[in-house]
Amino acid sequence: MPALARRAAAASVAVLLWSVPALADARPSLAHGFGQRYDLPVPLWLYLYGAAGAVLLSFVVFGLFVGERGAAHGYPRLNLLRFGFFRVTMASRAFVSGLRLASVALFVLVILTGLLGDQTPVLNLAPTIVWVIWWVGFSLFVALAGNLWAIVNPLKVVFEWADGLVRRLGVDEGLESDAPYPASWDVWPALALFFVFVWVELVFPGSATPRNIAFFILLYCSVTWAGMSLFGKEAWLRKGEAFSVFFSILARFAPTEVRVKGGKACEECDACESESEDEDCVNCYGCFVRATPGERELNLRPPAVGLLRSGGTSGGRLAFVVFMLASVTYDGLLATPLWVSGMFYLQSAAGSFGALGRLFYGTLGLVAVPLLFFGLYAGFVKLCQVMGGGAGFWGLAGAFAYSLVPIALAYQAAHYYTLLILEGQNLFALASDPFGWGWDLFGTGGYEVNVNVVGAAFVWYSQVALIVAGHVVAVYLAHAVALREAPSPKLALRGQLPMVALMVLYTVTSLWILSQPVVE
Amino acid sequence: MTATFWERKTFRLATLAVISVLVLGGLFLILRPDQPAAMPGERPFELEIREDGMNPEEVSVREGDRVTMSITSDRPFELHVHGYDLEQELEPGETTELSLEADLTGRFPMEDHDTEEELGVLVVEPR
Repeated sequence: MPALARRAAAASVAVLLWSVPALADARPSLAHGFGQRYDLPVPLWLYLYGAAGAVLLSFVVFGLFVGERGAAHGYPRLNLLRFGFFRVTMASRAFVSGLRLASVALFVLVILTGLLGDQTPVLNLAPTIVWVIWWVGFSLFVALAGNLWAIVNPLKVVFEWADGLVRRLGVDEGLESDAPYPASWDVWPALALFFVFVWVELVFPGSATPRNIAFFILLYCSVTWAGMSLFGKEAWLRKGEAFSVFFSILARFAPTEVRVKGGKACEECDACESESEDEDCVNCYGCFVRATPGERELNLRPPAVGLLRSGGTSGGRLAFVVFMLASVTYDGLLATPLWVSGMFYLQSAAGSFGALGRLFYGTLGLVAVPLLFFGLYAGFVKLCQVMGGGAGFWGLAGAFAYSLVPIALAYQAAHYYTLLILEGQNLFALASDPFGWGWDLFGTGGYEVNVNVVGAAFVWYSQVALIVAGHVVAVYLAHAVALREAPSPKLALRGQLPMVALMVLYTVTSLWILSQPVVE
Repeated sequence: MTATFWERKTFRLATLAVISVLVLGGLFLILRPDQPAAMPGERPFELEIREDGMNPEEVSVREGDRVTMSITSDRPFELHVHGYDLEQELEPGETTELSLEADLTGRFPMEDHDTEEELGVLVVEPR
């Protein structure tokens, strides 16, 4: 019966095999002009100020919430679907279909410009859309507004269209096979794919070359569609699609959620934020789509509360979160003078091996930094367990992991928002001339980036403010998690101390990176 | 029950906000360096470009300064200053002057436009 699914998977693999030899052609791009950053390092006094502020505020949070009993399971929510305005806009079929169509159109355009357009990164739409608008901008949007990816994910939309078409043609089982997703795989496929993505971003020298971007997208399409055909679309989106997993973690910070009242719709669903089966199903879009209109809610909620719900924190998810936290730091670390000179000494001691050597050492760092990060995290969690008791080691490790997300998010925003403001302006020119063929569709083809939008002083203050704010939110979350996990409030207070110490370390590291000149 | 919990929480968060502002404000006043009173002015630099890069490696000024660089080079090439997007042909044995109004803050690489090798950096700090 799943013959068609198997054939769909085979077709995906064929796409994959076809694009591999093309990749061998990859030449390192001239990064010149793309992703170039002119940020001044945060001055020493401001770095010290931020660090001292983070430590002091940790104690303020601490002191204020001492003795509070039991963390809240509920939080204030405002169901936007109660208002007619949102029912006819955001929840309407036309609006959602329009978004999905626009997303697929842009997706196809990026692949086409990547394959056919001018190969200079700044003259081609693909690098700016993928690295600046989507990777930096869209990630921040998901964290600050809500999980739009769950709706517009073009890989999902195209698969659904193809599946619907096949069913209409009379094949009842569609493209999805009913083979169960192996439980032991957990989210490891998503983590492996996310690792490859971050490797392409940070280590692969040709990541800004439009043609490489198009090939990597096609490669990723084939893997994703094969996964969806073999194990079912929803299963793969929850466990194998790297960006669905990534954005669902970011969306836990967001001040919006989708919720299905009553746990019935949400059997065997471990992607949603719910902690137990009889609770509502939160932020699980597969369930939301299946639910009846009466069960659906689109809520405003306080930001970051989604990170308190540790539902479904398995070993794989813990590894994913830790890798996320570490890779954000690795990104900044790579451009610090300390790292560059360290790499220089390592290469002169162990041999440099030319371009291949750079790949090797970059990859080594991308493996070593997350491992080091995990080692540190495990050590501090162990301390939490010794001092506060409560759940077993892995239970605590899973419970605390999400509370570190605000620090990573704040760092990511501080590190990248100037890039978004400056490089994002390229979009004006690229909209008129996506292929770099000299078109001028909207009369904006000649737009030149205005570098003088934000002054250095404003950038410094906003960066430090973001980092300190992220730290305070993280300490507050850790406190709430400790209260939930520890047997008594007194033990909870002691048990969260090591986690707060780790947070100070993580925050100060982020600040330190921002205080270093960018050397690339 | 839930309501009172969140009312208490709101009160605590308000207290948190007030204390945070006081603590951070005080700390800021203590740590902030005295602003240098130096007025924007003429900042001359003598730069020598050799095989191993630019000497000195860094041209550091403040916003609003007028920078005049007298550059000598050991080879002919085109120098490119990022951000300000200036280009200047250099000839060996000649001193070339390059001036700019430092009205843009940031850390701008100066590179050999042909090889894209970074030779030095122009740093413009806010005043």
